[in-house]
Amino acid sequence: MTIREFETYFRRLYLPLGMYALRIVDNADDAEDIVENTFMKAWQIVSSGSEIENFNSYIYRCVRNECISFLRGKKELEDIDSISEICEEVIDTSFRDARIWKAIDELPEKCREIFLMSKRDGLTNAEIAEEMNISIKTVKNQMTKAFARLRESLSTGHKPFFLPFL
Amino acid sequence: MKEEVTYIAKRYRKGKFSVDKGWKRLNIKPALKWSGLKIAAAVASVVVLSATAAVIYHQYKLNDTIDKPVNESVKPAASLEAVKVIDFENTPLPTVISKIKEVYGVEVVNVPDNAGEYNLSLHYEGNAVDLVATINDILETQMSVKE
Repeated sequence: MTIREFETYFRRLYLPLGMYALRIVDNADDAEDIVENTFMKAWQIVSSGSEIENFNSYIYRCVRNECISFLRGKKELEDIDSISEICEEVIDTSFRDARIWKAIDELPEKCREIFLMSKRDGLTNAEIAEEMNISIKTVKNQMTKAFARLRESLSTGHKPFFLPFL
Repeated sequence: MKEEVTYIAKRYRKGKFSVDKGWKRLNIKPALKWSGLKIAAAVASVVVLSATAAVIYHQYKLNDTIDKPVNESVKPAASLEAVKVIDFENTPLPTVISKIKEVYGVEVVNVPDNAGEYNLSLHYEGNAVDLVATINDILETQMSVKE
């Protein structure tokens, strides 16, 4: 595998794998570290000349194992069976989560701020309006806009191409 | 949709999971077993970027000089900092090094034993230190410049 081919895999799978790890370790910093460490280890393997058959499912399995090791290290793994095996549904969810994350990332700044105050921080429209010194109507409009963008991004998503090879 | 959106929103952090930043953090570089031609192409592309940066830097320095008091003498640039233009077309690394010595009047030291395996095509405008540092970045060599 060339560095360009590896980069293509990285760019395609980095966010979905991050979301997959996030669902397991429940922390964005830890999930990001796990995914990067996994890619680094994979690069060490491929750059040594070893072939990895079906890189997509391989890297998902590696991230799963890294997550399990991470949770074991923190003594937070109660039951290994609670972490789903890699299957179509799991990968589908990771790609769907990735589209949601990306859609939030791409919201206009003010719209994102209002959306997160509502969904992340649990504030009411009135509380957001007061906090931001804007009208409740503006808050509602921005929330409608945010949900429209999210719906759009989820409806245009494609299924991961490698599912049949799992 | 509502549940998964709320799940992600609760964990969302701006700047996290940036693909570009993630790729940079991996800091993966081409292995040295690349063919000379590929290295030449890589060096050429990076050097062109570097040359652009050198031009901007040079212009910045000129602007900076304008802002200085008139009575401050402008010292002649030392050979290490002298900005020169240099061109190569599919040239072996040892020849490149000789040319750097000739054009910039500096010594390039710690040249790798296998320097002859690399050919370079480049147009560069900048100082010798930056040029050699750029080549080091690509070839993962440890060459340096001495006056």
